[in-house]
Amino acid sequence: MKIIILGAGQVGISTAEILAKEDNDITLVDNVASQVEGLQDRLDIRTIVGSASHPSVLEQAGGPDADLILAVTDQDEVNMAACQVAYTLFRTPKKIARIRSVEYLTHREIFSDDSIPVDVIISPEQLITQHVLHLIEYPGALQVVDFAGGKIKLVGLKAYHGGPLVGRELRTIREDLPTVEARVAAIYRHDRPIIPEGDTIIEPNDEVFIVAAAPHIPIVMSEFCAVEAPGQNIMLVGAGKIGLQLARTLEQNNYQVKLVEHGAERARQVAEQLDATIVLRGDAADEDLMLQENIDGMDVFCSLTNDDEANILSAMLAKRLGAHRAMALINRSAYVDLIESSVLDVAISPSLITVGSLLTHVRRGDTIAVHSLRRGAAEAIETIAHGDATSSSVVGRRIEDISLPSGTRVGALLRNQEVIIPHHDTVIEAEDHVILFVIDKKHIRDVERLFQVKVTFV
Amino acid sequence: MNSTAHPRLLTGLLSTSRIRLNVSAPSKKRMLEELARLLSHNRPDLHRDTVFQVLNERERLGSTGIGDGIALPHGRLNGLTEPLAAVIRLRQALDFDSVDDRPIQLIVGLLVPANATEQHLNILASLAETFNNTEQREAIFRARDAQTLFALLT
Repeated sequence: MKIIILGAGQVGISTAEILAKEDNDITLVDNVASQVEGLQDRLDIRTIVGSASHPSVLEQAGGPDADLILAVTDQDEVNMAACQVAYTLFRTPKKIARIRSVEYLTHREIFSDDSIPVDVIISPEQLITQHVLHLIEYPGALQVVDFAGGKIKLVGLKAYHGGPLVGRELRTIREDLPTVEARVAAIYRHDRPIIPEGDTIIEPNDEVFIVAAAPHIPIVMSEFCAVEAPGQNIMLVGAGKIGLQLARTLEQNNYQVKLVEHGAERARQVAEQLDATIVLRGDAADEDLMLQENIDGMDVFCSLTNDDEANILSAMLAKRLGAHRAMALINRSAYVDLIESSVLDVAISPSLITVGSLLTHVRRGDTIAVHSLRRGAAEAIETIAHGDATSSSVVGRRIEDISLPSGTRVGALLRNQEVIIPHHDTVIEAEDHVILFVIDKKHIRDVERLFQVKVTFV
Repeated sequence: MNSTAHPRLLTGLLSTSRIRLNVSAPSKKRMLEELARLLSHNRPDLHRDTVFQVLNERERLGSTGIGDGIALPHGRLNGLTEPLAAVIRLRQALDFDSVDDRPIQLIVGLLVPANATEQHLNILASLAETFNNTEQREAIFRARDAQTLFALLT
């Protein structure tokens, strides 16, 4: 695919990097030369310096040939104008824009081909809020992602001593939960993937990925780690866009929220915008403040400022002072690798979360959702199977007869709005949503090919 | 050329005005745009942008590159009552995610009504079969002008 990315910020660069590796033709545009310097050679992409929404710049970036334009500059207005220009001049088929301002986000009707032609709006704040909310709702989860509009969930967790299934063969889960259908999509042991079989014995510290219908997730999780009720007491640090939105969402869901903000003016502002949340002006690295605010009674501590180091350190401190679970927002990917699963419970990576949702629109085939897992090494996708036994390589076939690339498993199906946890002899039907777990991203291309219809499909 | 082998597949679907040789299209998008332009040429009932959209959407579900340098982009179009074809031969071969990974040079585009009949749908399978014949294929690749190509396909 020929893709133009506008804006060489965190999301622009990480997306360019991932997409270039997947055999796409990428042009990255930024108006600051130093932002794109050196990227050309390092990422094997084309770079252009110029104003992202200017017709001449878009022309130079290959506008007439581009299949997709991804506008992720730091200005909503530039992103919208760039989509408008691309549509008017080049009829670019797919236009994705990052829009942050709630002012625009609450008026979706302005985004259409005859007003502002944006096909897909990406709001990182909303994505991150949703991500953290899931982690709070499912204690013990490292990652929770939605498929089939939330009907199906995939959960990554760490198996612990005390989980009933730990130390036993996977197949015995049926004895414990005879009426619940779930599928273990992947297991990572000491960071290495294991293909789960019925006789695989779950060990403590295994990282397990499970797919099930949403209502079954808690009980299935309880097989792998000690049962916990979702905690009610949440402390957030940093009242930026994400902190504010998350606090608002949490208080609407009846959590007890304390929001710590360093800036006096900002603290006063957000206090006015929130109802039940207690806004505290202060520093999350202030041990006395933390103790005074009952840090040891917090079920979740989550640091969301725009300073990685401060987030990591305050989350470590909170953990030491007795917070049950500590999470930190971490932008730099090197830190994410370093921190997660060692000192903190969960590292929240805005770029990984955002990139996953962008990949949905780049994948060939009728892809509905893509989620990056394990810091981008693995992927879970939802795709629709089309065609019939002649025009498709999957429709009309039993799962065991489909030549899936190694390490790729069908986790679940959605058929006529109903969740099916498939067995080896389940036959894929046309229009099934198929949820796949791909252990190694290098196989994504093969998975895409497998699900593509042949020429006779009309 | 073995004239008995050609099945007059596109009789009634094609006209010389919808055949263009020596087309320069540096990308998949521009090739599909050119094809949409040709298909909607002299057809006030067909909107170029809509035709492009239909072809592009179908391409997303799976490449129509059938190998040996040939692609058969197609789609269903609302409001169309009879199928319609157009042919493009490119000056320079174009990467098209074909089954054999080879670039394409000959494109036969086809639009069928939204409620296409079995007969309409079979056109594609027959086209693919025709191009499977090396002699047929080579004659079409060699054709010097639109008239010759028209005669070969209708």
